[in-house]
Amino acid sequence: MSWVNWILVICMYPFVLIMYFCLKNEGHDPKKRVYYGVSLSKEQAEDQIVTEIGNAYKKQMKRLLWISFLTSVPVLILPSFSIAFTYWCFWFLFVCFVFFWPFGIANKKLREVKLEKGWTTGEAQPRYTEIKEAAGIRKVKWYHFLGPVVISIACVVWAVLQPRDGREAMLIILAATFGGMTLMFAALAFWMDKEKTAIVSSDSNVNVNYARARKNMWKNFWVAFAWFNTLYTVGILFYQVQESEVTGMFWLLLGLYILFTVILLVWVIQKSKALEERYADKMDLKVEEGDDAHWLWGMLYCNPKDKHTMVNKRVGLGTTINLATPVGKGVAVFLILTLLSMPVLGIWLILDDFTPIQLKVEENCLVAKHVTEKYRVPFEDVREAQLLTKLPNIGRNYGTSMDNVKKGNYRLRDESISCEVLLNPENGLFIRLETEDEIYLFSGFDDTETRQVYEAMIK
Amino acid sequence: MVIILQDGSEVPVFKQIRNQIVMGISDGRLQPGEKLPTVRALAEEIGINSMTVNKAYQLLKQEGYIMTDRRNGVRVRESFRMTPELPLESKEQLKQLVSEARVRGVSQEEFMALVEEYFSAGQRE
Repeated sequence: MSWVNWILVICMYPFVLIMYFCLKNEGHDPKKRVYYGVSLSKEQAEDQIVTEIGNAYKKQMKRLLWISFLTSVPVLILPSFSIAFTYWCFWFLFVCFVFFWPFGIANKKLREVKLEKGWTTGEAQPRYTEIKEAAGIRKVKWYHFLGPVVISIACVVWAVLQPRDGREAMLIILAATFGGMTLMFAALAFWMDKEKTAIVSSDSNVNVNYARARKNMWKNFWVAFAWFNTLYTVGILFYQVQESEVTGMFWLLLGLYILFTVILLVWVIQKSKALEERYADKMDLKVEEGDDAHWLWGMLYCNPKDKHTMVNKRVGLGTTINLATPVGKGVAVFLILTLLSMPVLGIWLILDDFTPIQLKVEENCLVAKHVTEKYRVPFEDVREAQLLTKLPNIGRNYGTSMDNVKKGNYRLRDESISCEVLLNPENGLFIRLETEDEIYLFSGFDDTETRQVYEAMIK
Repeated sequence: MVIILQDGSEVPVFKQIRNQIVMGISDGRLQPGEKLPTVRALAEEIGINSMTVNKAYQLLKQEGYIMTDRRNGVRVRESFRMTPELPLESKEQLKQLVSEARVRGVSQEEFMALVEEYFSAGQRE
């Protein structure tokens, strides 16, 4: 049982609790008179059948919470990291979606009840728009993100200007990925700032002040996230250029990132709850009934007549996207693909972990193969060949580094030069080849194979 | 002021916006001289095409409810120089309402009480 597995699981527990409590609370909002995504009057909400649906929902949610915790245990006990990680990816997807299931069921049942009992007219209901300060409430200014954006761009420029010693590719990838995330956070902040003013009251001043407070809260959230992400980028680049490699540092940093994200989410949930409570007495308008039809399963907004891509959630925290707009569709596809790519990554790791390295001599060439990697070194190009009994001190520039396989471009720390690597670090014998313009480090499936290949090559 | 638009209505959206603003002026939710959002801002807020809002504003301007100038944007007029008479279209609508009320069996007293209620509720402060 590795401590990395513990980090993976423990970092996810707060996320499970957040999902559970958010959806549990979003189930019904008596102030806005929305119950499982269906608008009901006070009298309708007191009906026995609504109470029964609510009780069944709570029971199912509790059951799923326990199932979520229990199903995380295999991550801690599975012997192979790649299998444990793949399982964790599937578990993550399960946690992301599972709590929406009872909500969708409750929504479907309640809509049927509403129709059966004749609580709905079935007619299209009005759309409310606050015209006081229309499209004028903006809390995000360009200078809020100036620092993080400038530092992130500087990181990318710095990575590009690094000497071409094999490490630059990884540095550029890291700087561009994390720097890109800072830009994405800034873009999201501006996007959310353009959101339509929520109508909570017949008093325009209440609507405007509520919108200001909400937008200010989200501005602070994105600014904090952008700054953390920027500092994280600087930290991770600094770690990358160090000559010494700390075991498990990558996972520790990943854990830190998840932890900060969770802390920030908890903060924004608390703030949002406090805001709702502050305005509770002033909210005298219930959510429009006609919107029921635009909320698929009570959660997903899809209204072709609304041009807004980012819309306020009917109940609960934050915003959601309008799936009817082209941008909304694009964002939804991107999110789904991102989430689905996680298990694919896990399966790739299993392949890397369990596929044995093949090392053989073929037509006067030394051939090393593993999954998609293939090296072919002609004997005539080899200037020097050595059989090493100890793995040299190497650090990864880019590539794979697992317990039983290291492959890609690595740095020979003692010599400060890069080399191509495909070996099992758990072995005791390694072949070092030097050609005109490259150094290679190989090993076979086991020491016998490595020795046999080396001897065949020497002949 | 909150405006309410009916998506499935037979009344075009620009007319609905116009009607809502007139009602706002009538019941005091929109004060004389009060600034209205620009065409672009209102279109963005409602989530509709700016041409629709522009059409509503043009109509309101033509009817004398609002005024536009480059420096101050769109504003409710300080005073309305209109003849104290309903336009022909509104008279037709009223006639239709009265007919409907009569068919439904609403008495004249009840109808007048409603008119009085709406009229006094809409008295400008």
